[in-house]
Amino acid sequence: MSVFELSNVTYVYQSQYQRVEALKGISCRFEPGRLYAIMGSSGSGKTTLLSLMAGLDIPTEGKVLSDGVSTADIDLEQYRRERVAVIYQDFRLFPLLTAAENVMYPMELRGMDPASAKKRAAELIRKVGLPETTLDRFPAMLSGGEQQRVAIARALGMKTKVLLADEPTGNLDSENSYNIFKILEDLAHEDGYCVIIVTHDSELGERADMTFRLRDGQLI
Amino acid sequence: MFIRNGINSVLREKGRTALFFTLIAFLTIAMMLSLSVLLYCDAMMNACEETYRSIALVEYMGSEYPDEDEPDASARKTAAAVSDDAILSVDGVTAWTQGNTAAGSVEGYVRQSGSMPYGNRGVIIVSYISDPVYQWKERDENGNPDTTAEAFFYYTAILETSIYSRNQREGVIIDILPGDSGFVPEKGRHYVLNGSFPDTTRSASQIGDFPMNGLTVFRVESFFESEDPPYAECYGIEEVPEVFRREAEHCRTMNNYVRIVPCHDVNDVYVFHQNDLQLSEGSMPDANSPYSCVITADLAQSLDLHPDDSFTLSMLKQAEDDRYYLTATDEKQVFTVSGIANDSSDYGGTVWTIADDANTPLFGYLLGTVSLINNQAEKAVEELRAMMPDLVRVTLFDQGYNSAVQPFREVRKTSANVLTISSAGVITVLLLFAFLFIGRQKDSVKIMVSLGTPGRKIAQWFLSGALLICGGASAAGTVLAMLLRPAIISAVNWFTSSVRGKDDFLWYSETSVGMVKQMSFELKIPLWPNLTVTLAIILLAMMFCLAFLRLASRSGTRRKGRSRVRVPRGRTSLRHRGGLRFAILSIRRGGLRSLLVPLVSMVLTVTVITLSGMYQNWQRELDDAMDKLQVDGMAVSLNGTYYSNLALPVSAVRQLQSTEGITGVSVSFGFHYWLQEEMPAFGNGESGRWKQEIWIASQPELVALNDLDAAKDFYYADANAQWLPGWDETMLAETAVMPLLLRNPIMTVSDPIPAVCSTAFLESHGLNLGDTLFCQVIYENHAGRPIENTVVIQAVGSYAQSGGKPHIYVPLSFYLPPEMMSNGVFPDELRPVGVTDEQINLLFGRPTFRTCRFHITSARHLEEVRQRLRDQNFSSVRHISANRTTILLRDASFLKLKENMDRNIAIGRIMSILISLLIILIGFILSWLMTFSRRREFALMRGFGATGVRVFASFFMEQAILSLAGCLAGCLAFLKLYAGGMMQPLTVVSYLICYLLGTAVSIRMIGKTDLMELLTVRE
Repeated sequence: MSVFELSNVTYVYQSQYQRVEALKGISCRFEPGRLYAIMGSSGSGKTTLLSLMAGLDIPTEGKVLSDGVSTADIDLEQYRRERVAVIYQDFRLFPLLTAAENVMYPMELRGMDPASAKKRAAELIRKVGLPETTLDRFPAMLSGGEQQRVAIARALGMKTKVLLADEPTGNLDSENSYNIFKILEDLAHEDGYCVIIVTHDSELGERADMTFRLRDGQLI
Repeated sequence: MFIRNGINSVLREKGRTALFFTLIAFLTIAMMLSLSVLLYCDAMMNACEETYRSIALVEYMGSEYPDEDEPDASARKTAAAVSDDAILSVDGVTAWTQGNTAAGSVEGYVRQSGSMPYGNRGVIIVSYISDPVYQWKERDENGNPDTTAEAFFYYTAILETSIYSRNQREGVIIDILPGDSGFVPEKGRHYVLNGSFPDTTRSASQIGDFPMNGLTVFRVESFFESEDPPYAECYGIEEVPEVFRREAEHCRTMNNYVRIVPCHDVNDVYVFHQNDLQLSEGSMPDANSPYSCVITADLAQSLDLHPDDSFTLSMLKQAEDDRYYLTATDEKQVFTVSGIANDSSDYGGTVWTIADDANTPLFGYLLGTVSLINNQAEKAVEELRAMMPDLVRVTLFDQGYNSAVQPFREVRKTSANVLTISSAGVITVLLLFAFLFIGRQKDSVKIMVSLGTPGRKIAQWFLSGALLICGGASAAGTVLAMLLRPAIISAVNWFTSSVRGKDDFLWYSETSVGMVKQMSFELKIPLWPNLTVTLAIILLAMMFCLAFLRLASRSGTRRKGRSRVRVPRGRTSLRHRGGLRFAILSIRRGGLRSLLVPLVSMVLTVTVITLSGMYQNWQRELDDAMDKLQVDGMAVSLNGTYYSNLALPVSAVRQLQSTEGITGVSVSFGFHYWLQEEMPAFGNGESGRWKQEIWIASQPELVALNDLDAAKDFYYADANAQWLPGWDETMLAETAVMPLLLRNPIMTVSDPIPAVCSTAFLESHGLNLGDTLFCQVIYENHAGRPIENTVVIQAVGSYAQSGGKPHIYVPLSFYLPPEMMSNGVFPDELRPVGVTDEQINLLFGRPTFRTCRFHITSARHLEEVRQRLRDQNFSSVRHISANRTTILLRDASFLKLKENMDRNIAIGRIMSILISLLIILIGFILSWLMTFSRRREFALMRGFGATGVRVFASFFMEQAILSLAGCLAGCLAFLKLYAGGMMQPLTVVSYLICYLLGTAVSIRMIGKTDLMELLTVRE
């Protein structure tokens, strides 16, 4: 049974001067326990697609279905909070919160008490391969790979079935890229997450369980 | 969690947090202190309203001003022309009381002071009359009586009974002068006599050269209104003939009259308002209780009256031409005593009562008194002045209200300005704060949104941090302001009291005429307005934060399936790599950022130009006023308001003439004149001479003066004299005529004296300019003997007489040669043949003048002149100094203008400096923020290999162009306000320099930061 499905999704950017169809009738399905890669060159519509899947917007036409429910019909805030977790290329960590606080954030957002959240954050930090000393450090004091791991730990803290990653290794060296990909792969295969990576890295694409390719807003 | 994270986020941005915390706290302090001062000033002004009372005296400036017994037809005509309704319709006028007073009499009251027109009259019974005693008027060279010269005689008798006499002395020996009454007593008989007790302390001429022997003198004189002989044989009080009884009663009534002053509020009667009189007992009458009154102590004592007692006055009728010629009427009026005034000899026997106008003829020149609302008094007086007929002066007496309240007004204005500026500052800072702390937190908002954070939680996050800074800063500011408040209030008290407490400032000034009250400064200011300010700052901050949060949240909100994208307009390629090109491109693409700098620069430039322009204009107006306004001065009586009956010694005039800074000293001296054919027949007896003296004393004067300025007629009105061709005003100072004192009474000098006469006088006598006229003039010689002389005058000028009497103005040399006034030397050309220096000294030994006026060469020298007057020990109003000539400088309007200007300039100077500093600081902070917030851009440029100079040039030029454009726009917009000089351009240039300095400093600081650190920094 698919946890995620795109049904004839179209998205339009409208400016004063022109109208751009970023996505044109995209349809695909995603299963739990598998790692997907959505690939394409720059401007192919990858990030737009991810934004729709992340519940940051709804399609101009078509549907994004999560467990069979269209994102257009549900509270997007709740959707983002409870159904998908996103890892961004630029990590999107709160710069003024420590690594631990960043990881605790979604847990506390879901109502977990601070003490439990702190304990769980420590576990997750360890899980993504970071030492405990990382916990009290601010993002600016971490390397790119470390920040991305913190971002993954935060995403894990959300306890969602779907994990979206937007160019998760885009800012990382090959070693870090490998490590991050390994973590994501493990999360899909061992912990049963439906991990969807948006990337232009063909190497990552080849290692995914399934790869979708986008060109000019269409799947090829 | 959100609150904690919000607070943590804020606390972790130490630099920015500290900056805004300090700014908000500082502005809170400024707002609170200015608000406190403003409220304090309001409270003090209210207290002033309660403490002080303002009245305005409406006076007719006739030539006999301020003689309150003068029956002047012009004053009465003017009074009739003054509309009661018009006065009452002026805003700020609460009541209008006419200057008429009434008179009454009451059994038992004996006047001890004040005017007693028949104070020396008496009806007495005498006995034991002696034989006539002869007295020769001259003595021979050995000092013995010259029996060949003129002689007179008198009788000695015992004053047995006083039917009426002021002191009621009985049983004493008196000398009786029969004069020409025909009284020839027979020895051993008793007589009732009508006559007077001459004042033997006055010159001998008053009592017929009677050699004073220490006894009371009684001169037998005819009755007022009866031709009966003023003597009759009489052996007891029962036998006194009716005509004697009537005369006695008449004198008693007239001397013991009670003056009734009707008013609407006794507090507003001048003597009480000026604190000349105070209540010693009881209270002021209720304005709604007719005929309740305040009476003088002598009246209360005579009638044994106490507060709440009532008494009845028989109303008397005044003659049209003599306020003391009183006749009885049938009318009676009951008065209720409310209060008793302290003893004051000047106002004895007076009743101040709540009543409408007296409905009696107007005597004197006080047309009335206007009661005013303090804070509208000045404006009301201006309106009243505008509506009054010519020669009517309206003088405001405010007990010092304006000088007390004016500093508070100025401080209030300043604090209101500071409050406005600090409020604007608070709004700006809070806007900037909200923008930087929330508006620019799009990334954080985006993360939160992407993590599904509900809107209210996001708000909690950001508002908690904002609340911490704003609340904390405003609370800290509030506490500090509370601690500083007493010191600021003390400073205000010091300032206001020092401004109005300048004793030196008031010396010789007409602004010192009028009583000045002092009030205490202890007042408490409520706390609630300050706490409201704290709350308002916090609420405003929250509002701005919420607004920016909404804006920031928009980027992460659902766009309903279709995004709108903003595409930059214009060319997007950077074809040239020069710093200037980049700067221009950056300006073009800068959007709001590129608008903000010029806009702020323009506003600040306009503010600086406006403010310094105002300051410079004030300074220029003051300079103009100093140059153009003429201040003059005059010799006055001690209370500063009266200038009649002066006897100003020539030595004082010489002192004034030699005082540096004083010019145009003009003086006058008058002799009563009349036309021979116009004098009534008074008879040859003593009584006739007495009546003639009274008549002559009421005649106009032939006034010798050196400038028409010295004439009382022209104190308050321009002379506008018309002159015979070839003549002008200089003749008064230059034409040499034979002094009156040197003229032979027997031989009339035929050379006419050039004179300026009233047009009405010339017309009424059928004369034209150039015609001559014979006048009789009387003067007292060195021995006090009245000498009558005939002088010929030629009318060479005329003036429009605006009331009073038709005085004639002749050159000063008619009284005293000007040379004698300046150096004491009598000019030889005027010396009659045979007159020796000794005789000249005898005649002109100690000349005095009746009026004296002068000008200050320039208002700039006013203070120096004041000091010189002090050095010469002239007396100032109400202060007798060694030199007993009281000098009053008519400087009120100049001082008021100067005081206002000085205060404006002082405040303007402080405000200019403060605001200039503030503007410069704003320029520095703004440029610093504008540049520092773009440090990632800086890093990128450096990262791409741009040199430090290139990066510096790009940023610096961009900011320079923007700020310069703003300043130029501001300058152009307010070119009209350019007041000349360098102050305005310098302040604008200072702002520019500070702005660019801020830019340079921030670029330099960024340059010192590690490039890697910069590249990772959040915008």
